[in-house]
Amino acid sequence: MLIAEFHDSIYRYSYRLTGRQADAEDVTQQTFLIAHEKLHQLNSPSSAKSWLMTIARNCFLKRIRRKRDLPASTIDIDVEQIDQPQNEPTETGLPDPETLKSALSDLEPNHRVIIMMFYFEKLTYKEIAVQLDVKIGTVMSRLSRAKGKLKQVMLRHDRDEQRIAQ
Amino acid sequence: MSSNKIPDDIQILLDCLRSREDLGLEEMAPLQEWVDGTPGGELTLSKAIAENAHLETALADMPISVPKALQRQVSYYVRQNAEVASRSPAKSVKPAKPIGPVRKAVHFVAGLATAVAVLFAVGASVNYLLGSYSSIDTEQVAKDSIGWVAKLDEEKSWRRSLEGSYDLPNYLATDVQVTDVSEFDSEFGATSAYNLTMSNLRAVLFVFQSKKKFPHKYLGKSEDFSNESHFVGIANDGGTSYVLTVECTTPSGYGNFIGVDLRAPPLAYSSEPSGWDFSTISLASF
Repeated sequence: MLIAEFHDSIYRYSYRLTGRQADAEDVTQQTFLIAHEKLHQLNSPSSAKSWLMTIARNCFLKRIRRKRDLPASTIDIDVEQIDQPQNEPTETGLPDPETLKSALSDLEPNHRVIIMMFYFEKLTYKEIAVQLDVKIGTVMSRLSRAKGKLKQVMLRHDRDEQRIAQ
Repeated sequence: MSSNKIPDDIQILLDCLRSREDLGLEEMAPLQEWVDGTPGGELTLSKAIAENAHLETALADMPISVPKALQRQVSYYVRQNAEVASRSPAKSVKPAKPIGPVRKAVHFVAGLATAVAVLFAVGASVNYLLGSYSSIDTEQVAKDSIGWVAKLDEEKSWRRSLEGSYDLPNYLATDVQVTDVSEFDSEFGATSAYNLTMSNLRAVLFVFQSKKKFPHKYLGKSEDFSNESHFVGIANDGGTSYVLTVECTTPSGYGNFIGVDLRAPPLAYSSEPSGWDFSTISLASF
């Protein structure tokens, strides 16, 4: 039942974290295997999604710790997996999905995780501090730094696109 | 307002602000103070909140398509894992702690079981010493197989042949094709090497006859190994042993060579639809 209800959202979350279809599939599978083994730890069905996201995030963090020694060139992005981007800037000022996707994948994994926890999982910095076992001040400064990096990268992407368009 | 007019500590608080309600938090007190005492502070605050909201929406709306077979695959892995766990003593659920006479009875049964286990262990040791039974270190075999792959290109003494001596196991994916067959003498005697390389994934299936048994041991989860570059599956069918070695960094790469209904990664499992004992291991670079 958990799989049927949440496999797609956990896959999408995993994809946002990993940036690759194969890795996202692996993280998703791993997440549900662990969830199945530790189902007794799920206190309430209403918190199943956030519980699964936590497992997925931990799987991802474990993977990046293992791959820390790999050269950056081995980390590529599977752009075909992304649906057609909407490149037109929107009236609300939202960044276009493709730019955001590229910018997100350019971030360091630790920055990506904290961005996802705050903006996507909607955790407070206090909750993030507890889950990552770091001080609140560390979370806040890391979040600010990650967001700054994300903005920088998005700006660079925009400039590159403008240059290409010219 | 240019960002360089905003002190660093205030910028951090602005980045951590989700809504105006957060201004009531203790940590946000300096921000409230700065907004109140700074010309244009209210505008900066509004922009920061709007920016955070936009980012939140954009991240949530990022379109990502989900593979069609994902649910079925995940369900299959979970089911397989449950079966493996149910067969593994280490995973068995501990019974509730008994009390009184029941506890004594349980102790008696436990003692009896221990005695039987010791007898079995002694018997197995004797068998081992006599040579009638011996198991293979699967991890060693996996490492050996990667060495065999490396030698495939350079070993001139290996005999090339168009057809192998064995039928391919039925757990391979239907689109797997043999492009080349070699025969050589490995540590296990005459061994056939079926080249199954496809989609830029180097894959070789080694087959040999062996009286030795691969233990029913699940070597494991891929996360137990770092910098993995190979996935290896090992199977027995009667006296025939199969070692499938795929050069890839994710279980998905390995999964390309396994039939949909039998895909194992990321967790090793035992599947016996036709008498197979099958386990998957990933290995570090050698």
